[in-house]
Amino acid sequence: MENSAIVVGDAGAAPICVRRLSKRYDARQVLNDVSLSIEPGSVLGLIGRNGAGKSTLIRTMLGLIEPDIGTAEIFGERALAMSDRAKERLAYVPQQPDALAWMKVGTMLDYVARFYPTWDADFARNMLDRWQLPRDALLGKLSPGERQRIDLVRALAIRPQLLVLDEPAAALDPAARRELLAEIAVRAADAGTTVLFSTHIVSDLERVASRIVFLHQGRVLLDAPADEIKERFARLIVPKDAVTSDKLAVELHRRKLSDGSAALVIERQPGADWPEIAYVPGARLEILGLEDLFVEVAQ
Amino acid sequence: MKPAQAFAAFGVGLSATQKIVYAGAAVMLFSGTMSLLQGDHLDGKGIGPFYFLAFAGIMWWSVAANRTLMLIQDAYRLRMPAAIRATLAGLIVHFVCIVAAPATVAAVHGSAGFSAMLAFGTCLALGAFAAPVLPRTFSLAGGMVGLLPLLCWLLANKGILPGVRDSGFSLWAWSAAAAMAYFLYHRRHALLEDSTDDTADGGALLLGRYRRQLLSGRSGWDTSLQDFSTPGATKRIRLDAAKPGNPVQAVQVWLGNPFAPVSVPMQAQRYLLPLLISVLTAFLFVSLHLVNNMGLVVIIFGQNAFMTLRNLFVPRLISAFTGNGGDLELLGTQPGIGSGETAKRAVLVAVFKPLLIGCAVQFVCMVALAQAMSGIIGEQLVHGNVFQISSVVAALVCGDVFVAVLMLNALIGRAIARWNEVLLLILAMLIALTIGNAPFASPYVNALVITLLLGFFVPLAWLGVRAWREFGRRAHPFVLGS
Repeated sequence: MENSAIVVGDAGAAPICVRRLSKRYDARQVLNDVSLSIEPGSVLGLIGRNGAGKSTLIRTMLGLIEPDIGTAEIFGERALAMSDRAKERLAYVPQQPDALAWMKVGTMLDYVARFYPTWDADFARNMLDRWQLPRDALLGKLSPGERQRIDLVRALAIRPQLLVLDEPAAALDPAARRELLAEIAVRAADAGTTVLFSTHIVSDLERVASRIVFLHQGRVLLDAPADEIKERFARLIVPKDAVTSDKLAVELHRRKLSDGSAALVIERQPGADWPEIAYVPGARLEILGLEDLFVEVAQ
Repeated sequence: MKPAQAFAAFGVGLSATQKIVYAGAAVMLFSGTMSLLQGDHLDGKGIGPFYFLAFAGIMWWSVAANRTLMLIQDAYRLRMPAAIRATLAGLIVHFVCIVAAPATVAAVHGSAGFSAMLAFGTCLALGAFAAPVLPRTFSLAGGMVGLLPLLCWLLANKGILPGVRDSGFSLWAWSAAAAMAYFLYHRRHALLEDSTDDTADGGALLLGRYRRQLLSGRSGWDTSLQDFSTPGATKRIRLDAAKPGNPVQAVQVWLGNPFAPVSVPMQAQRYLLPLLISVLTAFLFVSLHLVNNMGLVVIIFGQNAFMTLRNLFVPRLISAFTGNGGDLELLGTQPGIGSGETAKRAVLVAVFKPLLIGCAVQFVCMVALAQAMSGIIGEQLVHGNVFQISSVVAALVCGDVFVAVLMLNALIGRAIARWNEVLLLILAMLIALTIGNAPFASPYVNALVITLLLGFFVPLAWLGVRAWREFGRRAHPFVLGS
């Protein structure tokens, strides 16, 4: 259960703000003390391995899962008690958009449109044409890729102030993925839309995200502006005789190698130097890009 | 894969319900065979044990057929001809064990001719294989395959069809088997090329329905697509009512069939069509003078009817509220439904109003049935004591309350474990059986009926109260992950 009192909606509040979220399913800690706040107009990319807790975090942020500890707010309102006014400003595309399968594409869009005052019917029509999606087809008979595109059209036509996409590119072909990313960038730059999207396609993040959050085993491992990530992380191979059991202050991840040495993922603040251990005899330092960082931590 | 391994593969991954079906069929096959061998015939033609065997056989083969056809379909898609051959070989082993061996035993014993028994078993097997390859629009007919042995038994009893011991049976049964074999041969392309992987509606064949049940781990079919997949069907839904400020209709439209607001003719079709089978079955039994007791009519109609309501409402709710398909995620973020208590009220009304209509239609059908059979039933209604009539009503209410409890549990994302469900069903049938057969004169029998009713209501009440509390505790009705 959330441990805060109901917060009244605030026009100037952050679109999403979560504090110290924790969630456990049976013996498994899915979220562990996660805190995040997303500024209006920013594009936050949430990255992590399968099972890292990305979808659970998104659902908890949106008030769809009750956290064991912590609070989630949307536009300053408690997420679990979101008002219709807050919901009108929000669009969400879940990972498996199978809802309303019995409706035809056109009927579904007409139905959804009546709940959103900002619905952009021209945009929806144009996108259906551009992506060659049939208005008369039953949603349940479409392929997963088509379903995902339809759901993206639905979410974007709302003209939301907050757009939340859970693995939006998973079933898209490269052309459609590129178009989606371009649309996200335009929305954020021109309309000031705040975007939160989860993915494990690193190139997507590098293309549009202004901020990147790396979730690993339910914890926020990294939360940094996208342009600060370059030159900030490195893989440090520490020789066997220099390995200590103490965790370094800048250490994000550690794995033992077969020869007794250790591979550490270390972080430095912008402008700061690498830690002293990087310069011990036999140590080897390799600067990590985002994809290398992902692979290294995921191992 | 060796034939023996392919035969064993039929048992891998069976759900609890399928295991129960197999176990029940095995018990019935055994007891039916024993009854046949002991000459314990229920009627002059010796049809009773055969009907018993036929019912068991159709249960057994319906599970085996679905799994075999799925194996063949998958092996064809994966371009594994050896797996298809092994499956077919396993099927032959299956046929020898389940059909040929009992036929030989019966022939040696002299209970029936070998040809008749073989034709009898072949018909059952082919019938079970023919049903899943029917087009999905024939779902009603597919569901009635299990009733065919009963119909044949009744017709044989009336002398319209030859009985298993009659001389004309072999010819009749082999002709039917040949027709079904031709039908299966004709449908082979439809089976192999049916697309079920990438669409939510489960493909064009009834087999797709079984596949989806198996993959989703649910018993019962998500009915949301069933009635709306035909051209023009969605036009009959009253979408205009679903708008901001009208949360009940908004939720009902989200849920689709059988909850979506529809025109009156479609409402009638929604409720009456499934109940029609129950009415016809009960009518058949009474008109053929096979039953003459109000309690038995309750069993035949009432139990069928509440299972119909369960199958109509529960699977769709489980599908929507277990949170796998994105329904809850979008409902929880859609404006116009309200938050907290408002949304909870909207969901309860949206979900239970159709059930109440269904119960009312069921009650009207029951009264109409009683009226139509006033010669038999009316007498008992007039002269039956208060206890008898109230027990019958209580049995009917039990069924409807059972459906309501299942629905309430579905709303909190909990599909009642199948063993519990089956136990509760057995208990319900026990009650109906007791009412049907009790003389209602002995206080001991009355006490037994009351005890059984309480025994049914106590776990039911526990399940209901637990679900209600959980539903009330939630911040809103679309919370995921119970």
